[in-house]
Amino acid sequence: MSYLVLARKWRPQSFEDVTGQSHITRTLQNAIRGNRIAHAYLFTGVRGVGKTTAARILAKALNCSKGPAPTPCNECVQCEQITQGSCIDVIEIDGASNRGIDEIRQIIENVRYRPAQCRFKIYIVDEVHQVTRDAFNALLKTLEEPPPSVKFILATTEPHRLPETILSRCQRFDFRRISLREIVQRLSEISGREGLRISQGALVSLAREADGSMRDAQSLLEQVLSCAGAENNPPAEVDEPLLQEILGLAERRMLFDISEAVIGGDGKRCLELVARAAEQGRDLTRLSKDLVEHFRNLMVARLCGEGAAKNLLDNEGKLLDLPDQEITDLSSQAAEVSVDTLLDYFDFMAAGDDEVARAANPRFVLETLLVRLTTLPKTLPVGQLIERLMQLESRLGSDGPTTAAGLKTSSPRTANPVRPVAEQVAAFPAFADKDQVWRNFISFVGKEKKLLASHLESGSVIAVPPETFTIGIAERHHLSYLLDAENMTLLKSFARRFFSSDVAINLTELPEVNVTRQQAPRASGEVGSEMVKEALRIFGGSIKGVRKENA
Amino acid sequence: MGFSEIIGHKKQIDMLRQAWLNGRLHHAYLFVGPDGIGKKTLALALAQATHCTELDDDFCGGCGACRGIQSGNHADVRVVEPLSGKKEITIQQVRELEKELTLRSFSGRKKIAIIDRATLMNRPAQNALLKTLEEPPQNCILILIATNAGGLLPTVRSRVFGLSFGALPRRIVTQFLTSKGKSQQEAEFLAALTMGSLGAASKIEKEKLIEKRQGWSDMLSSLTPGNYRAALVSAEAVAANRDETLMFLEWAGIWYRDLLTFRITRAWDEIVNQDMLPQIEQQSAHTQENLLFSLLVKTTEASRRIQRNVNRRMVIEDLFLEAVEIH
Repeated sequence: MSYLVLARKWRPQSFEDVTGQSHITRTLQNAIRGNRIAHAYLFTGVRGVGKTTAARILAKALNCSKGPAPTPCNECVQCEQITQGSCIDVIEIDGASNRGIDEIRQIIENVRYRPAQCRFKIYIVDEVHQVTRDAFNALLKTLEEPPPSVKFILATTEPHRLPETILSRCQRFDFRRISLREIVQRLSEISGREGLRISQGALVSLAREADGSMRDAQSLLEQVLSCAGAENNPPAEVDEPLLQEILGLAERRMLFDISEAVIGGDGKRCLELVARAAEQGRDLTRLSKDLVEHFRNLMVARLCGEGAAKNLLDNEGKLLDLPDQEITDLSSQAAEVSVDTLLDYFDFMAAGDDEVARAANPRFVLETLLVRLTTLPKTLPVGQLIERLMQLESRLGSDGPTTAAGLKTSSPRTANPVRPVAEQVAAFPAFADKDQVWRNFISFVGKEKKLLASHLESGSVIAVPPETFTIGIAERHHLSYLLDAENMTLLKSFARRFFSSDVAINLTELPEVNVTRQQAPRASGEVGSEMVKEALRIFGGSIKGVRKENA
Repeated sequence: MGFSEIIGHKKQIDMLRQAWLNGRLHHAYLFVGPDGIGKKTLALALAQATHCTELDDDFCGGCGACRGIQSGNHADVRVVEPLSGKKEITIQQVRELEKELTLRSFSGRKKIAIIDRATLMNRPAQNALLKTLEEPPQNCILILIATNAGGLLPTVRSRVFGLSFGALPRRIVTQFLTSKGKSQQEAEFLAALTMGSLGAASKIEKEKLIEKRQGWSDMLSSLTPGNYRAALVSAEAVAANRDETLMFLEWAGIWYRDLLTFRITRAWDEIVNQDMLPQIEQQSAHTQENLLFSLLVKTTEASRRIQRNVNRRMVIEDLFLEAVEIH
């Protein structure tokens, strides 16, 4: 007999051997004991958790010559034939290769005949999600009421691709991911029987790689066996460094180096580290996956703090499944940055990891991804930002209401409304450069009443509160417009809102026309200068002269 | 011939050879690594070693079996590739392969199936292979070859013994090329340009990549902010031919990556386009990191879109317009 790989050699042959699925095996055994056997089962779950295995054991349990027994004897002719896959009454069908309606019709056709030797005729349809829609529909009637001697066992990794009508006709069992501890236990059992010496730590990191799938774990163990066996003298115990070497995993140290470079914003160092990993022949797609997990760990460490993470480890063993030293390292590294920044890192890394896995040249994608992480701005928590904003604002308050007013409009969503502008003016009356106040006042008015503001623009200020608000207007028609009763009331209400106190307004006519003429364009020129420059750039013109609208 | 003549990948070869000599070969392997670094060569070597009638612990490359395998005419060794004119490996091909594997081996030794570019199997085809991958008929070995494992179903990956191959070190490629009569300088340049892919280095001249590169880099350099006209004109030129467009995109990705790398490290040794240093220096000074990031993302996206038969010119215009956007 040719060499059998571990996953096949150690395929469980009785319900007791199936790891980590006791909720299912117990139910099935009880069903057999109580003679409550359904005619159609659906086994679902991720790859390598025991669906096909359970289906075969169930077939044996039902057909065992000493049964139907909750534990098949594994000795009788039927059991042996089923194990070898040569039993003519247990028909294992590859649903993915035989997915058409014709193949299903053949099943329906054969269902009518009694089993040849066994108690039941059992159809195991594996990878059933690939069966076509029409074929499923053809199967419906048979699946609902098959002859008494026929049982169906469907197995799939993707139950969501089965039609509802199929799902409702089956007894469904969801297989769990197998826990780390259970995988480690099974692996150490197997490696013991295979004569491989491997350290507990190495087994744990091997099991972690398998991500809840026993077959993945066994395939990895197989690789270790191949490599460890390749050396001539029986090798010493396989420990973690050797395991990393064999599987091409990155050293844990390298993950920390990379995250340190990322946090430090050192793109060059990132590139160097990736180059080194590539040179050492590490699997870069795996490195990228490890980094995703690493950034997640950093986030957990940052959120829980060192002590908490360790305690959680003791109680649940789930949150951070790492040695103490690493948790300490994680916490100290994570302390340097905010949770939001770590979230950003994780988001980018997780999204980019997909690209790395699909890229023809993973190295370049990984490089770019890491460099990109280094350039991410360090985000601050929103609470802290608001606090800073408030500080900034109170400091700026002493410089003038402009910025304060700007802040007021630009941060409408902050929870605490910014204090009214007026309060600030009142609080810091000493600052008052009156021209500044005047310009602000005009723009304040201009936001609601453009026309009024444009009339004001021609004027200049003579005094601001707390003195009487005195405005000098040079041109007569502006003055008469402003002196109009309605406009005067409006102006007063603006002034009251701007200075947040009742302000007496005094409009005077200025005699020197020239002064105001000079001032007006200068003021508006300043306001619009950026815009003017941009306009010049776009239209490629030059300034021939300045003329005021409506003037 | 023999295992010792395969270039690079010492570790992987030793491991496979030991497993073969000890009769512990896994029934399904997955070789993952960049194009043109010798994955298929190694798969064929393993097949030859299994069937070689002359040597017991290696393969001769000269006996009838070895030559048959090399030329694809061996009854027990089957290489599955997309049919000519097709872009995918179909479920039909997988079914045929499965049927063939159930037959007894012709020579009495192991039957070997090599699926080259396994990621080209479409979903139904991959699913159809699952049962065979897990428990193939006796005396069968399946070898899947892929440039990235990401394109395979997780259920496929969990059933195979994965072996990953890195790019060959530049030194080795250079050595190989000089032994083939290239001058040292030319060999070094080619090795850098092909990033450790011997296959690419050997076929690069046929593709005239070297000549095209100069024009391409000039073109990309002409995409200055606001130069919409250049973007549209260049896009038309690039999109003329599908293969060439894909080749361009692959190179453009490397070019942008070069710019980024140089911008950050200011060092030459990791640069791929070794002969274009002045241009890289000049361009990288003008291009912001953020623009490079988005261009890199766009480049990959563009190649994926073109493979899905989106209108080429539109895809390239989209990319180039991104390049000339003012940031």
